[in-house]
Amino acid sequence: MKPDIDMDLEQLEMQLRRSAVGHKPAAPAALHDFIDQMPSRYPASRPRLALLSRPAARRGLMAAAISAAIVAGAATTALLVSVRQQQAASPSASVRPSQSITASPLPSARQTGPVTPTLQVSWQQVADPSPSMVAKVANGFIGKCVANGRPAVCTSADGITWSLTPDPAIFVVDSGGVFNGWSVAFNVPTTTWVATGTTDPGTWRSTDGVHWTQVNLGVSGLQDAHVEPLGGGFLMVARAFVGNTPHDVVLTSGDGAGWTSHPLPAGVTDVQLAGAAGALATKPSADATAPVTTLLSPDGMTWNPATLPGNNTLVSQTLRLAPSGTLLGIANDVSGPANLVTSSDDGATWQFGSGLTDQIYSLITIGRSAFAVANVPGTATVALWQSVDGSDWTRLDVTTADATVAPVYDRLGLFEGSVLKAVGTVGEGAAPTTTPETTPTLGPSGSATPAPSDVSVIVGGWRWHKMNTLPDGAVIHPANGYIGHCGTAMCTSPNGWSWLSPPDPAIFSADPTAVFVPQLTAHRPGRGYVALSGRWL
Amino acid sequence: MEGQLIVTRPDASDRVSTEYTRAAHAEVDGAYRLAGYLLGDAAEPQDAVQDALVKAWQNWASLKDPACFGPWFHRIVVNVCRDRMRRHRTLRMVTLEEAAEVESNDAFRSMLADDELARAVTRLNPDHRVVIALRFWQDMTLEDAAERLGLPLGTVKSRLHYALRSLRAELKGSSYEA
Repeated sequence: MKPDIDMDLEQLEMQLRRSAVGHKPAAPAALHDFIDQMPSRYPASRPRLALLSRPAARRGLMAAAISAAIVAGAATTALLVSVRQQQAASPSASVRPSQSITASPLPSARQTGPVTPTLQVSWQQVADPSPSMVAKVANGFIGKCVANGRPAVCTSADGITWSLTPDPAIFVVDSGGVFNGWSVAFNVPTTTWVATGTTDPGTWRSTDGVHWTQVNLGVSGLQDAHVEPLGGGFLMVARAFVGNTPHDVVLTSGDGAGWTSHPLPAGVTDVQLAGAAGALATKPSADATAPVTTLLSPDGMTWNPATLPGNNTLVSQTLRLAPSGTLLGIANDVSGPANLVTSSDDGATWQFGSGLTDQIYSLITIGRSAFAVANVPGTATVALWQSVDGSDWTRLDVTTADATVAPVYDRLGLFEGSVLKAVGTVGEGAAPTTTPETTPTLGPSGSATPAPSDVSVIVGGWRWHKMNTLPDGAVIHPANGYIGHCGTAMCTSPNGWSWLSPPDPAIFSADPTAVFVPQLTAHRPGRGYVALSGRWL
Repeated sequence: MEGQLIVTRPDASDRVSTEYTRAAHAEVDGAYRLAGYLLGDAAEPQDAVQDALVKAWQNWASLKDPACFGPWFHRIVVNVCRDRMRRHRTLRMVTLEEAAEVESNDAFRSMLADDELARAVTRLNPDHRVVIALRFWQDMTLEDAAERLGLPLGTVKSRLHYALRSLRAELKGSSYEA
């Protein structure tokens, strides 16, 4: 059925309802059998998952995908793939020692004129226990590590070497039981820190950045709380339940000890911290058909409509550039390229930014520089860009797939998933520290450079290789290697762990008009591969 | 007695098991359809619903009122499916012979094969896909969808608004024939 692309909303809703007519199957008998068997086979308190035997009827259907599933399955949890060790295995695991990766400016397709190497980033790899949710405190860093299967505070003096036993010179809980304040804010004027629970309830305060005391917010049952400094105090947003109904909570505090909850205007929902611009919320229309109103609050109390360009309705990660005071942010465009940088002087009216129009994932500021993590068009690769005015952007040679960059105080943190993997130190024209061992990069021409060096450990007679990126789904394994789907683009690998995009033509090539990512692929042994359906880019 | 294990269960355990199985049987058809709409074929929803059934069983004690099992279980199903959509496969490989069989026996896959609009829904982001599936394919009210998702009603409204707008934009911008 071909839909009318100019249909109005009513027609669209009607056609959507028709889509499912005739496609409402009952659950297979195997699922009903599974329900009957489960209570007797699996006590309610017993961990299971790996022990479950699943209905096997369809398993034979997927037999041809087994080799691919091995790759994807292993990757899902550990970003590792394994091959049987051909040589005698070492009894102990060998890991890559700490090293430095150096970033320097690259010429950009969007940049006119000569490239001025204004900034370099030196990266140092973080060894285990690598934390997530890193925050700077007075004498070092605190992070969210895992100990005995539970989130636990780990500390570091330099952000690179971490200890699961908190260093008392860096972090001490004076009161408040188990600390879980993974959202941390520091208010410079009052020299006060506040940490609040992003998953479990709890808020702590510190006046020296070392000793923490739990504070009572006066609102019970807060969950998913986040805090940021705001003027001379703090702004916190969280969710609370009244019975089974969740609702947003906004609190402010001058000193981090006494907190005031502020009611939201009627109909306002989806409150979130937006950075320098304060807090953001939306107000949908009553019947979900009229445009949603975006509201910004500079103080958590007053809410003002924000005007965004195009179809943008949300803006996040806003920051203020010094010394101009210009606000930058990431706008989420629902009908075109997502996440465009926008700017505003007053926080009410926003325009598309200039200079960098690639899809932006992350926007941060360090000193007087703004950094943007952006997609390299047509690839699954992200790149780090730097600007001092929000208009002219220079791409830095720190490309990495499936990774994110976030500020770690005056440094950059490179995260794989939520785990910190490297710390970058920014310097003005600093010299490279060591010979780099880089992740795969795309030069201005878009051609792929050689795959990264292999990082592997030997465990149980198998060599496990660290994957440089994780394809989104199962992987096709043709004769010359592997084909995957990395972000929005095809990627290929000669060995299953080193992935590159664009695809290596020795592994995958297509007619120039057939630029697509295969989603269902068939293999006739000895007679080639057929892409049965695909997503066009 | 070595090698033998004799299990005796108290009556309370039997009662709980009975309550659970009765509630799960009543909800599994709807849960399977929802998972199928979200995940797009007949195979993966079985895994997803099994995961959800196990989670529900393991957390049965936290459900204060068994009469609320339906919304509670659907929330679990939605969360399991959302996780799978976010990290899971878009690539699947079968033999040519098997491919034809898959298509004809799979209600969800044939739904996608027949209907470009349904295919467009699968390209929405997971949060948007969920609200479309609940509202239009499971015929839920916005209030029911909010309850199933554990979200404020306003959030569901705004997500539905974005989802419909994204869908229209997707249809206008599409140039593919999957």
